Amino acid sequence: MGVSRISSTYMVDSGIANLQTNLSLMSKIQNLIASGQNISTPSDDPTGLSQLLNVTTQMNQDATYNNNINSGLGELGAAEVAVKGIVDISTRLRDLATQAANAVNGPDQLNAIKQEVDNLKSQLVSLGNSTFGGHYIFSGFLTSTSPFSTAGQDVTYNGTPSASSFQRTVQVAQNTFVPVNVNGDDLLGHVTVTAGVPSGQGLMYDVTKLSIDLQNQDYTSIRSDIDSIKTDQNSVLNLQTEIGGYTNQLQMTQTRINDRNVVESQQVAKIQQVDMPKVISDFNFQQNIYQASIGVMSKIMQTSLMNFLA
Amino acid sequence: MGLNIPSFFGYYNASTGLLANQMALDTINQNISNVNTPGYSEQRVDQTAGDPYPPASLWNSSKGGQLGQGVQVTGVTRAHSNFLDDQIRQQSSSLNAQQTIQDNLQYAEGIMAEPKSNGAGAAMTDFFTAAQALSTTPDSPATRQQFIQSGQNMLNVFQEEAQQLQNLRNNLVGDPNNSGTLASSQAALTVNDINTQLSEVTDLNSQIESVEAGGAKPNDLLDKRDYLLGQLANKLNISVDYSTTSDQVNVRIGNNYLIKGTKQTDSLNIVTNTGASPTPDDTPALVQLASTSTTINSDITGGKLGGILTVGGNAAGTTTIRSVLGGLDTTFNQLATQINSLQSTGRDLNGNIPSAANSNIFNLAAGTTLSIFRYSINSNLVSDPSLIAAANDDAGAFDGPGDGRNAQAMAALETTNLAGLGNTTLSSYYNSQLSQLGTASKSAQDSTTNLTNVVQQLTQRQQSIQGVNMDEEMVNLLKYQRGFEASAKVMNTLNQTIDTIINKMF
Repeated sequence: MGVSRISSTYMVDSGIANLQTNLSLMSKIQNLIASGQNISTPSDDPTGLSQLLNVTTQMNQDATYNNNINSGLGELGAAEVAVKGIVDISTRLRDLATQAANAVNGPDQLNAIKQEVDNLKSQLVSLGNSTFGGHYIFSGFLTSTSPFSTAGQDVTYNGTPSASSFQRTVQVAQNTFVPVNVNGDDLLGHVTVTAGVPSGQGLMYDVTKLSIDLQNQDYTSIRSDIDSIKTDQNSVLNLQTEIGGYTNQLQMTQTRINDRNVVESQQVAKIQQVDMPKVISDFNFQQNIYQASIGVMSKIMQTSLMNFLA
Repeated sequence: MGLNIPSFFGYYNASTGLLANQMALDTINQNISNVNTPGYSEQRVDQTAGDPYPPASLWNSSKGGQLGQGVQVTGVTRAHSNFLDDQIRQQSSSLNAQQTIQDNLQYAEGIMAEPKSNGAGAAMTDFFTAAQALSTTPDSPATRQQFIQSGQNMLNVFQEEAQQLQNLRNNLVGDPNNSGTLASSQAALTVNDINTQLSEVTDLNSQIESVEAGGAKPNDLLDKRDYLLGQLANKLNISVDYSTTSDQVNVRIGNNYLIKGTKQTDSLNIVTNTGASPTPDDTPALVQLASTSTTINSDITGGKLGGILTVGGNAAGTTTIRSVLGGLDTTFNQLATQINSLQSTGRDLNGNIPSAANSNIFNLAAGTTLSIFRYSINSNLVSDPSLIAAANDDAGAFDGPGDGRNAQAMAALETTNLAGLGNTTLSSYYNSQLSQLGTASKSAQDSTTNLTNVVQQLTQRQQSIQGVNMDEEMVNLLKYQRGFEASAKVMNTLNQTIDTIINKMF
């Protein structure tokens, strides 16, 4: 705007106002450089803020899901170790049963085999009572109760029965829950021995029956035990596959989350991270303007007609 | 020879020249002295040539023409534009309102502490992370403790921010529940200032009237009054009506006269709102005309007071301190209600459905204040975290301490669209509230910048009319100095001619 007449006050006032404008621009740039962040308060960039908050919300959720996945993977890992042990033991049991079924074995040998079978049974119980982070992994929701207890030859399952809901899950995405346990009863079964006659199901039943058959030197029955143990082993293997499946699911989700995290971090950086070279060159530019305006102002302030009037 | 001229005629003529130049020098003196006085208008001596001698008449046909009778000073006038004053007042009213809004929204942004890691949003995230941890290991005392602690922490952060916002608002317009706070509020202080300045303007109007009655031009008083009117416009969106016959002004707010010339017809009162419409929560303070107790809040749209009433009020669709506070309140209230309802229907570590005393994680006390101020963490759960219902009530049965499905449901609230929030999630509702605040604050900042420029340009124009320019004054100083010297020289010459006549002719 062209102004025909300039007053002395105006020169000073507008000079000061311009210096203030330059200074406030410089202080803005200084803030950017010092914080390294484009958005320090919501009004810095309301649109950017809303993007930023949405992305960081997603990132925080993902971090939480990642925690869940890690804890699930830990538990499934412990279960995998235990189940692998159970598979090994059942293989050994089959070998022993096959060995015992041979009629040339006398009572001494059978007794020795029975000793080992009984040992293996107690190993099975202890594997069934495996813990992770202080809680039992095969007892369903009853994580503070040891799932298998023994009394004489009896092995009782104390966890959540397989008929009711027993599966603990971790959340890995908004509506996705992945199980992290298998049922102990499905895995090992249980057995009650009444007057030398076992009743029950699963590996526990068959290993107990094998032990009793060995004691009774009942070769026919021992032979049939070989197949039953094989069947048990198959169902354990099925559960092992199931655990492997859950683990896979968690790992794949984790990979997805990590991939997403990379993209999201880039997005955050794009919105929030200050472009240093640009800002610093802006700062230098602004500094030049500021220095020039100070210089001009000092020149103008000193000039007066009075200096030239005698 | 035609015209008879008295011998001493020239003395008079030269003396008017001396006097006029003297007066012009005095005016320059005044201008230079006031070069930095705010509101000062440059003054100039108005001169005309004196009436010629002899005066025109039928009998005296001027043989040889008339002679001038020196210079006449007709007055001292100020260079001023009432029109620009009016425009500047209007724009500064808007500017001050926007600036007040901007300042307070920026305070609110500071209080919300976003996007940083210690605001309510972060506290909410922490709480849900703790809920997830609780869902994976519900039988661990540590995660239970962590869950209830993060709940406590989240409540603290929400309440602290809400309280600071409430204080900010109380400081602006007073707390309607505590009328004692009004007197020290910014609104009341501004109303006091306005009333003082109204009476000052009236006083000046009276002084101006009496000076004008004496036939003089009260330049400095007018400057002072116009400056005061400008100050008044910074606080209130007044309208100023100029009299066409004198230098008097009337001052209005809306259609209500506050000053009519030399009479102050009204002043402002501010009272705590105790009525039903508008509610005290929406409009904590009412500004009224002292004479009729008519509420004029709707007339006050500009100036600092207008800004205070806007940002301290709760008009629909406007981002105010109250609306930000309301956003916090709604967010937490929804969160707490949902969490509580899950807590009351789940089962604790020992398999019990929580008793009435334990059925809430966040207890809500009865009262009329905003719910955020009435929430507290259930101390029973803090002292015994096993009472947290992390497990489901599975068709009337308890599945075991490893059941974290209820905690899972609590954690899933983070991503659930809630009807009470217009079918958005807690975090997106909270984020949109922040975004609104940011947008409103940004737009107030932009308006402030724009209006500052407008006011600056108008002031530049005003200054180009009424401002004092030192160089100009210097030139004039010389000009009138020379004029004065020349008049004196003429006087001297005349004296010599008289001397010649009296002393040297004989």
